[in-house]
Amino acid sequence: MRRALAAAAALLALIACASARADVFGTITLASRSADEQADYAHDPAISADGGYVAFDGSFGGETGVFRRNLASGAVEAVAAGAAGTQAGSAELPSISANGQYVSFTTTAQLVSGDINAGPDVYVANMSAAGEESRYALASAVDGTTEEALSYESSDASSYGSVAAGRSALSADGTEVAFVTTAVSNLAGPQTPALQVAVRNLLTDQTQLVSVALAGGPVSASAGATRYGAVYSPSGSPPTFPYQSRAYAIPSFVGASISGDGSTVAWLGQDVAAQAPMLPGETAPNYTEPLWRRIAPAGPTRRVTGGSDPFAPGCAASGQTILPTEAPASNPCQGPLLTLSESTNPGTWEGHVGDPIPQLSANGMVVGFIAQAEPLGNGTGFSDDLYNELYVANMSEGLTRVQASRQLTELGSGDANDPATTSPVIDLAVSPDGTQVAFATRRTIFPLGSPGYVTAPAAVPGMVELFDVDLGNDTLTRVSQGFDGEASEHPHGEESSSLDPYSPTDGALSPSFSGDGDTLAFSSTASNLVFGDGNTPQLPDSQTFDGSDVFVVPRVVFTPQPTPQMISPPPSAPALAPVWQLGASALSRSNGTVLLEVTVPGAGTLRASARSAVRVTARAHRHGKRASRANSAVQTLAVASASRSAREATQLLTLALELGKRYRALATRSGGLSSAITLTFQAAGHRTLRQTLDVTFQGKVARKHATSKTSGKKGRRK
Amino acid sequence: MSRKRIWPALALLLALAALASAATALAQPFEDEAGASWKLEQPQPPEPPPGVAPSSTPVGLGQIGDIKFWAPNRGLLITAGNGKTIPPGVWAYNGERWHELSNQCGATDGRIAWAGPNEFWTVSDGRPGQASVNGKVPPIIDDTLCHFAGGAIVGSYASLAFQPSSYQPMHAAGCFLEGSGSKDCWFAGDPLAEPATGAFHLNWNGSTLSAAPNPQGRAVEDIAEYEGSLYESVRVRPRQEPLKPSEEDRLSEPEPAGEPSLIHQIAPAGVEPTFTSLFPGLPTYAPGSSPSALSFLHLSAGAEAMWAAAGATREKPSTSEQPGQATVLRDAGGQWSEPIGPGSGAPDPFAQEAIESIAADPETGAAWLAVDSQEDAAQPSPTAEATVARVAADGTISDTETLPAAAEGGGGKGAAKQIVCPAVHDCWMTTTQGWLFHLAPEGERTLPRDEDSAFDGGNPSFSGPTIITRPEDQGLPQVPPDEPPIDDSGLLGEPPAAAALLPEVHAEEEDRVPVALLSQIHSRLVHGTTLELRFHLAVNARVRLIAKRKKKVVASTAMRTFAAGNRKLLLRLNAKRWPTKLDLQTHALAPLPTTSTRGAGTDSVSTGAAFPVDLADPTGALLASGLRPSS
Repeated sequence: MRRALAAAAALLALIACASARADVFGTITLASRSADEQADYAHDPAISADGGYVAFDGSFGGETGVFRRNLASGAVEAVAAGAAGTQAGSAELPSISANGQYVSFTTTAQLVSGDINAGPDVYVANMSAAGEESRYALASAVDGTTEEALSYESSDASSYGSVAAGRSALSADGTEVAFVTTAVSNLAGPQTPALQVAVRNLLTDQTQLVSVALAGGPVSASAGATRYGAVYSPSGSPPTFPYQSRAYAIPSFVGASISGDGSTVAWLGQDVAAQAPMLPGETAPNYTEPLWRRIAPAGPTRRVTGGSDPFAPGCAASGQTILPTEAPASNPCQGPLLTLSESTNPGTWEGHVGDPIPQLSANGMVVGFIAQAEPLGNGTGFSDDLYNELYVANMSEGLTRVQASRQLTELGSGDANDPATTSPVIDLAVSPDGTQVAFATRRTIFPLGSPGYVTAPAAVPGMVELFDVDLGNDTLTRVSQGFDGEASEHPHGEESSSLDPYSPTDGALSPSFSGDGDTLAFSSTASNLVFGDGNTPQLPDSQTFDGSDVFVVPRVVFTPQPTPQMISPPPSAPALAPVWQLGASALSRSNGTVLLEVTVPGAGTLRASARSAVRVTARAHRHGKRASRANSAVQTLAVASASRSAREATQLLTLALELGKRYRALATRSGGLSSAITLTFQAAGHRTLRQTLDVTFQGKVARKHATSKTSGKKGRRK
Repeated sequence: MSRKRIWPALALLLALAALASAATALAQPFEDEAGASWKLEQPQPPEPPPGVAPSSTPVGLGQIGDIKFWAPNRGLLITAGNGKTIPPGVWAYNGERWHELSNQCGATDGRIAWAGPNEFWTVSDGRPGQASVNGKVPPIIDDTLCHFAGGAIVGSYASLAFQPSSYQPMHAAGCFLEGSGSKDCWFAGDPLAEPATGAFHLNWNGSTLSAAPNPQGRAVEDIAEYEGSLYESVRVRPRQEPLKPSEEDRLSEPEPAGEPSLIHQIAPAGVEPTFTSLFPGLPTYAPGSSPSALSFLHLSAGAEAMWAAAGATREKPSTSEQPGQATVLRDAGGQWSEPIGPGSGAPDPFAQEAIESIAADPETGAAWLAVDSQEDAAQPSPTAEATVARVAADGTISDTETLPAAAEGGGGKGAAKQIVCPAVHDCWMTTTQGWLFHLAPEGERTLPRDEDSAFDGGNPSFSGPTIITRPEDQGLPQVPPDEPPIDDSGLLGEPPAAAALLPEVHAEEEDRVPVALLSQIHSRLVHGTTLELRFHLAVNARVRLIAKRKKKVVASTAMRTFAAGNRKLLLRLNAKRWPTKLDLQTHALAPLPTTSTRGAGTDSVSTGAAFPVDLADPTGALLASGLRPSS
């Protein structure tokens, strides 16, 4: 019965394993190239949901800007490009519609007549425009106008305006664009503070302020000399455009994501208390968290995580107005992340390497983000270092933030100097169906069992690699790898073994999923992902030409096959067999021999061999005419042996071991000759049995020796 | 029509004609009198590993240090490689296409010197044997030599780093070309390490490589062979402000400040003096500028003239000095002239530009210049465009072209770097990014295929390297490989050419061989367990004796440095862990002397009987294992 249960359990385990497959990714192909030419460098890819196009920015064919590649034909078209260093060549950070027809980007070029400001603006290019139809539509336009650009007020008019995030700023149908202002503007009336989130509907010409304060109007707060808008900017003040020093780096940009259906917008907010419900005492304006808002139909701004969770059951009843400094997990107001409540509390993000813009699924209900706040399970005071971890949250109604959030990566150690375990997660993407999350990190060790890391880990951390979490299978897979199967790499200078040749953002970045989640586009500065990648500089010292390329990799989807199932008949009862072992005893006899009595388990041959340590005197070879000195040494030698055959089953055998002639005298010494007897029993079809016994060969002193002892002269040993 | 109305009309017509011709010139790529034009002719990358898709776009070959031709259909280039696609190595041109010849001996700034129709040398990158001495990482750029002959590398030379005899980075290589193969080749580069003075030179005399520094002491940057003589050019190191003595050239003899010796003639073997300075008085320098404001002279020799060209250095030596002026010198039959430069009286045609190389255009009396902006020369951009200019004997610049031509489309492929003209109207230009442009008349872009098996393996479609092994560097500690050689015994095809496995011995040069480092090895046991090993060292060497028992080291001496001569090592053994094998590690610290092979019999050293009979092993098993020198 027990055997049958065990067999059934094993079968169930097999079935379970068969259903939980690990993800496998296919051959990586180079996307930032045409049939004739490879891009000089390419960043920030965005793949269309139908998998037909990839938009990217970089330098291609002698121009810089945004380009689109038809993955079927291989043709590369300029979306908005010009000479490097000019306004025409300043376009960056594309997002692409589901069918690839529309591409949004940010540029300082004035592509429509109504764009009279000198700063950056957000445009959408219609790549199918023909004839008199204008190719470009201005997205950062005044509400209700066709192409009247927002006006900006800043000390550097050419550097501040409106910017859109790469990959995630355009809805699937290409009609709605999310962007963020980086200057005081007329977005929501005169003197609208900078760092506001807006969405432009290109069909209705409506520009909607998304980052609405709880009190109404745009978010506006001040802390000291710093004036805050709704969107967090790592440097405090808004970033300048175009982004400089893009080589081997994530630009320090701000932005917002819009869901594919255009219903939802997410951004990394600051002054969260002004935008979303928090505990009454939490009012620090520099407090950051990912924020989320439905705009169709319009809803309030909600927090993706916490910090505190005022809507959790029991929180309101507890009467707390602020989280205690060390809130226990049992605190009813405590969210999934420990965000201390001091006035200087940075929230979930305080500026570090990485792209903190939250990513959305197509329906906006799944939010992926990276956070630096400590997860609740680690306990307070885990570390003062900033470790970016990856999370995903479900924004369905009725869930507490603890229930809604799931941590997808975890530190492998607390050693900040160990990149294998503590390298930050620096970029991410969420597939449109919300079942896949791609992320980039140098980390090689992922201790979480869920999702389980199923790829062989790299021996040492090298470049930033791309990984994919399959939330359905609960597996974690490394996506990027060299064409020879090795880790990502590119040429670098001669470094001593203690130096790390790669910077924290050198490698795979900017993942982007196709609609079915089965194709990933990403950029990487690695030179070994594809054979023929020839734009990598010999030494990574360029401020511009970092050898980055855009790649596409498909997920290998296996055809489902029914798992063969069979329950075998129960095994027959095993035959009874004697225990296969030796039993032995030894008896030292006065005649200098040792008698062995051995019980053997069956027919076979029994051998006994005794080995003792004896001093051996030897004379070395002659060297020339002079003889070398005699030397003595102690060696372990075989001093006696015997064997006997057994013809029946279990029986008792006796063996008498007698010392070899040259060793018999040793048995007559005081104490005899200690020896180790090895018994070996060999039988056909069975394993060889061995047993060791320690014995002493001890014989009586010969008479003549006694005589000589008496005489003191005869019998002296030589 | 009155005269007053005719002249404006004629002027208008002339202007229109001039505009039309200018427009035509802009639209059409340059064509010389033979109809030759520059076009991008990028080689296909090597075959990818099995199962990996080949590259569908051309790939830059990486940093090409040198490109040289023996014949129009037999050329070589040496590259540092490009990522994982283009390994460092040597590529060959056979008249139809370029292909990877060797994946050995590549270099970040390598040089090539033809020594015969199928024999050449490369100045190549160092190898790990030189690395990390006392925790320091030596400069391993371009400080080893490879000797190719008959489709194999027959010799490889390097030195230990941080030694007085260490090779310095080499920037120039050349051979006296006589008959079928040269026995007199020179390799030169940086000044010797302090406190020595002189510029590093190595001379191959047909059998041995020996140091022969030029006492002047300035870094040698180029070597060219012209009318049976070798010429070398040197760099005058800029005197930066504030003046640092360590940045000055250390000269063995002072030179007039305004007349440094920039070109030297190297004498053939047996002729003294070895180095002779040429023409004091040329080049002339721009008023107010010093010689260090001019970069070194690139050399190129054709049948009728030798050219030397240099541009101004990017940084002025001092704020009080005037910048240098581009200079082109020409030697025709021993008569030197200065077609371009302050001495020509013409304005500088390449102000703010760097001259990267010059190539004599055979039979035309002209030369091609590879020109780059000084900013790009300091930090090459992958998207820079290449500029070439044709200079006539009188200094007239007849054509200046930017490549790739507009008609070819695409972006820049890097600035022009190396240029060479193996035949009239047949030139090749490489860019900083490893792209190749070819000047040739349409219809003559390919030539009869060179079928020498030393360069294409006899297989015209073979794209992989035919040379994949390199002998151990002579002069370096010999480190056994960590992995066994690849078992290719089951592969189909011809066995590897025997030449690849042969030591560097030439049929007509077999009269001398290096002597053995170790000889006269004797050993004995003293006090029972102490092994005394006596031996003779041919040169200074580091020696270590290691006793192993079943791969486990049971005793060893420290690595000791011995002078040449009779020496001995003592090694105490443990009777309970008696060794089964002895290894003698030897690192020669100087090149081995050679000895005649005639009548001397073999010079091998039998070490098998050197280990005394072991007391614990009277059967002689240890004796059979022998003493195995590992070097």
